[in-house]
Amino acid sequence: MTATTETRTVVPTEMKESRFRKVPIYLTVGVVALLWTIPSLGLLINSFREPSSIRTNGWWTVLGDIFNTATWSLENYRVVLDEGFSNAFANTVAISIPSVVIPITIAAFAAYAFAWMKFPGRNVLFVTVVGLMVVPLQMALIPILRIYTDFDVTGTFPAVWLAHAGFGLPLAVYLLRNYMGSLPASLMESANIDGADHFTIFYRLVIPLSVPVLASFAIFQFLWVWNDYLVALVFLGIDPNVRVLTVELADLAGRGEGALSLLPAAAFVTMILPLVVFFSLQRFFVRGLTAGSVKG
Amino acid sequence: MSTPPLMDHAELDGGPPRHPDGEHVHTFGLWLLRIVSALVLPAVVVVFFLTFGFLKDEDANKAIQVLVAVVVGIGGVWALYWGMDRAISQLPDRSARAVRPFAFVGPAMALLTFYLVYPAVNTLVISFQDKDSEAFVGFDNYIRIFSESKYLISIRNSLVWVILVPLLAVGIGLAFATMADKLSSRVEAFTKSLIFLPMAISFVGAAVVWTFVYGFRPEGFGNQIGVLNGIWTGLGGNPVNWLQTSPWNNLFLMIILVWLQTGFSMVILSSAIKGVPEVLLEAARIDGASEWQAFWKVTFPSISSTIVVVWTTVLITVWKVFDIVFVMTGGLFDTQVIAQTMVEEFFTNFNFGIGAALAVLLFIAVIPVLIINVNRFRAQEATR
Amino acid sequence: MRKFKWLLLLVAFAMIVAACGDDGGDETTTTADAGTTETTAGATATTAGETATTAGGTEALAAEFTLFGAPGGDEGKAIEGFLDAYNAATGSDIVYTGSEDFEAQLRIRVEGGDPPAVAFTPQPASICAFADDGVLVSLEDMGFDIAEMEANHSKFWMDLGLCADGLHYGIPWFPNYKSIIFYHEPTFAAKGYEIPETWDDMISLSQQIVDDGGTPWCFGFESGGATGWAGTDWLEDILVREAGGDVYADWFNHDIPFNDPAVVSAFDTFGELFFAEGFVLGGPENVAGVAFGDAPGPLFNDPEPGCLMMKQGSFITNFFADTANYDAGEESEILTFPFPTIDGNTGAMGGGDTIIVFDGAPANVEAVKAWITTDWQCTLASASGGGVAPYGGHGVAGIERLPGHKDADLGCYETDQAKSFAGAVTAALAANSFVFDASDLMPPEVGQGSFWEAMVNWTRGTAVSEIVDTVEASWP
Repeated sequence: MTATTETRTVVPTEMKESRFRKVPIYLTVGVVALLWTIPSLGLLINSFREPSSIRTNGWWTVLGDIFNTATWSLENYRVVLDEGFSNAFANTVAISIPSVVIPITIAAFAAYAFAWMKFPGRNVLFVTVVGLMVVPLQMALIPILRIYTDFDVTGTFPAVWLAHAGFGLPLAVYLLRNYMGSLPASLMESANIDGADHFTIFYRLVIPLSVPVLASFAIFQFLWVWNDYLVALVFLGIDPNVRVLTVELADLAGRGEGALSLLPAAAFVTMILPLVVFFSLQRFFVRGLTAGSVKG
Repeated sequence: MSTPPLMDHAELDGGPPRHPDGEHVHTFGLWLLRIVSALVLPAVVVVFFLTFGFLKDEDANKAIQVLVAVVVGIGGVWALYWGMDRAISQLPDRSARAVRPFAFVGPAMALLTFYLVYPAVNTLVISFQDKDSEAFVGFDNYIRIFSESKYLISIRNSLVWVILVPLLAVGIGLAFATMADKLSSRVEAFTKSLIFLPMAISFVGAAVVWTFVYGFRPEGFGNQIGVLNGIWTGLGGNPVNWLQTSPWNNLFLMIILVWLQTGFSMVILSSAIKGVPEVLLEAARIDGASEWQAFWKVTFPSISSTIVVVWTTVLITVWKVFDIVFVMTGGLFDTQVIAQTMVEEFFTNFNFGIGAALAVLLFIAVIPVLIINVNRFRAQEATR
Repeated sequence: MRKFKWLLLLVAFAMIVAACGDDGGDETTTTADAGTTETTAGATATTAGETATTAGGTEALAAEFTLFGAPGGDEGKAIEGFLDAYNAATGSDIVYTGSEDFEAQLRIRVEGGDPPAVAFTPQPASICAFADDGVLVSLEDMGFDIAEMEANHSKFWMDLGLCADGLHYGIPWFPNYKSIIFYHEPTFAAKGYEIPETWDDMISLSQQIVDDGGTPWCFGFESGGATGWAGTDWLEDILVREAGGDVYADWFNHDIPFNDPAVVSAFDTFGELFFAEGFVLGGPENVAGVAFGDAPGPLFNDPEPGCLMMKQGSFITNFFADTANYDAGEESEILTFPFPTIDGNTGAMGGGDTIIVFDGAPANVEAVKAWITTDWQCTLASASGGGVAPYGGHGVAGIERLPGHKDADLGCYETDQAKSFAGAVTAALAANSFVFDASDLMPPEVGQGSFWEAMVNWTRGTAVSEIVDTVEASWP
């Protein structure tokens, strides 16, 4: 499996070894990808099966009989959407968007200052911010809930947005500063000489250049907020009108065996938007996360 | 009002009019600008207040609420910074230069103080208090954590998790990225997406997914519905109760997290690998290095800093994980981990003292990892 | 100098706008307040005595609050149906919220200072914890007649809400019944098996079934993070009969240690049945792996049931339709007999939902007082209320709730099974022999932790002495 015989110096794709030699690689990659897909595949298949058959036998038993229409059913999805998942879906969207946008803006300003402004205490502050990344979220919940209750904001969306903003900030500042710090210093200096102040440099120069990292953090934060269970559970409270998908799903799962047939469909309803978001923004995700740390 | 050439490309974004200090600007414009900027700060506060009132109204249309929230969220925050910046511009140059950075980091610091620093300090205090946070008990909670077997097992398990999961997630991710890199780009993109897919799944959802993998029904209770037992019994074995067989059940729980996290490390490492200059690899090959040697001599050193970042992120995630254990086994059958025990002490047993002590333990244990990262940052700063 | 002037101007502007802002702020506050005032107004109006004529012709206060409880799914819908009937009769607006995370959620809400107005909890142990925090309203303050309550709903249940300050905080609502064993009637009839009266009869019947080539028992203790709880019920039913109600109370109050000989003996008795050769379908070592909801499944196997008996609370009938081989109507083949006597002692073990009141507004109190009367219990009892309920049933088919009042009318129930459970429960309430599931009464470290774990370890052959010592050590 060596490439020593290859002497042509052309574009890398052309340089790849012959397909025949790559059979072991294809096999390994294929097997791993298959292994990774099986759990989700099982869930997907089960979500479209008759409720009783989900409990009676394994999902793989339908593989020999996939064209039998009697096997398939949309019943689970119908019930799940009736059970309040459509409302929960709207709530989750309402919570996710601002919970992504607010911390990004705030973190961008802070990251810029950490990367390109000189001020006393800069390093100490930055290390503190990075350190806050490991504060277990769970221990922040009750003290904040008490304050929220004092101000009567428990159960409101803004309360959850700001909480997500606060909890997401350390990672955001870390990633954004990482990226902004790697922008060429010469660029900033010439802008400065031209008389642009920091605010101008920030929104005219740094923000447009940082789109990849902003997008990648946005995806990160979105996945996190969308899949969050605990923050929503604690700060949104018991009102079913403001329940989010994960809380609804956990509630369904908690009902025991009776809900087993509904769980696959319910789980898919919760996954669908993150999947769409991820696949449409995947390019940015990779670029933004790596640009800061990978240099030649 | 000449535009510096370097910023031409930014012009396309059509932001608000620029406003460098002093002479260039028309007097009337300056006036207007200053009035507006003076208004911004209080206006932002007012808008926030109004929005808040509106958003608290449960009867309001949800779509409109979201729209208002997004507009106020973005617009309001930007206006806030712009207003602060303008206000600072009115200061004498030297003070402005001293104050401006704090206007930039201030809001972030305020949020962090409220949402993370305050609770962290609060937790630290609680960790020295009794069950109901009524009396100080010194180090009693910490002594209990390090003497009672229940907690010791969770510490032991967490250590195994924190070693094995990042190792597997990063190792598989790296191997997969390296191999996929050698395939045609369409195959590569497709297979990578399959590996990344679990990233989009919540922990609660993952628990459901894996019920249909690890599901167990003993003889007499019907067909297997978990695929692992389906295969196992198909091969002639007796059904195995995967999640209740200690110590292997820990490994089966870890596999769930590896499944969730490998995609993340694979995607990032893959792009790092693509960033390794082809020239270097080519040079190594010409020197007679095999692909294996080229990987270890050229690729691996070039991406080592990325590996550190990925490792750190996965490690912190693993360290804080509680959902998987909480849902799948509830920490029974010797599967407890620190974060899950902490949540249990907080929310089931209402033993705030122990819960807080476990939280502090989690925090302290990650400090070495932090130090490594901060040092790496310093190095990056130095080479800039 | 110029800059300074600008600064002044800025401050001036800021102040003007801030003033306007204050106006705006006030405006919003007023709007927000208007909302609150509206509800307060509603509340005040009701306190002032805004009345609505009930179906019965009596005047009732209209209440407006959120009732919080654990039941979800169809069971939750039955509660909603019940509240619909009450709301219609009294002009109230009471909304039900159910959460599977009820215990944690309620604690979070209380810790956060934002409790629901009224809740009903399946964990009586939490009542006094809340009362000690000073967030509950006592029955004495709400004007309940304690002696009457004790007579109607049993002193045992009332005592569960009796806290350190000598006041009562729990209002018994509806129980569930666990001292029952389900069995496959057609097989019993065909083979001539008799319903066992005593523990020893039950052992010999089991042996006979094994000798006939059958499997007598189905067990299932698996329940995710709560695995093991189903086993505690067995032990409790044995203990209360072997050692009596007083020892049982001493046990969950920790007046005797968990490793008391009486507890060890109960484990040993259970072991006579559990570990006997061929008694347990799938083998005792696998019981911890069978989901409790799957346990009744083999009763419905065709053509022969996989096992003939299974013990579980009355609620398990709601799971029948979800088992793999269930056919419509097949539940009529599964009947129940009472848990047999041991040394001549009987008992009724179960659990129950107890109402706790956080907001003692008069209308709330009146609602709660109404709900525990036999009239409203009849609405809660079944979908139709058996045709005798003055306010109709709750309207959710298949859901029946047992009465928490000794004088409940058995005619409120639709199925014979529910009637027989209700009969047993009302008799036990009247005789004050209805005891609660002890694991619900122990501290969470034990009742929701080490006790469950003990049952699991026991099924896998860990020595009893070791098990009870471990639980004892975990008692906080």
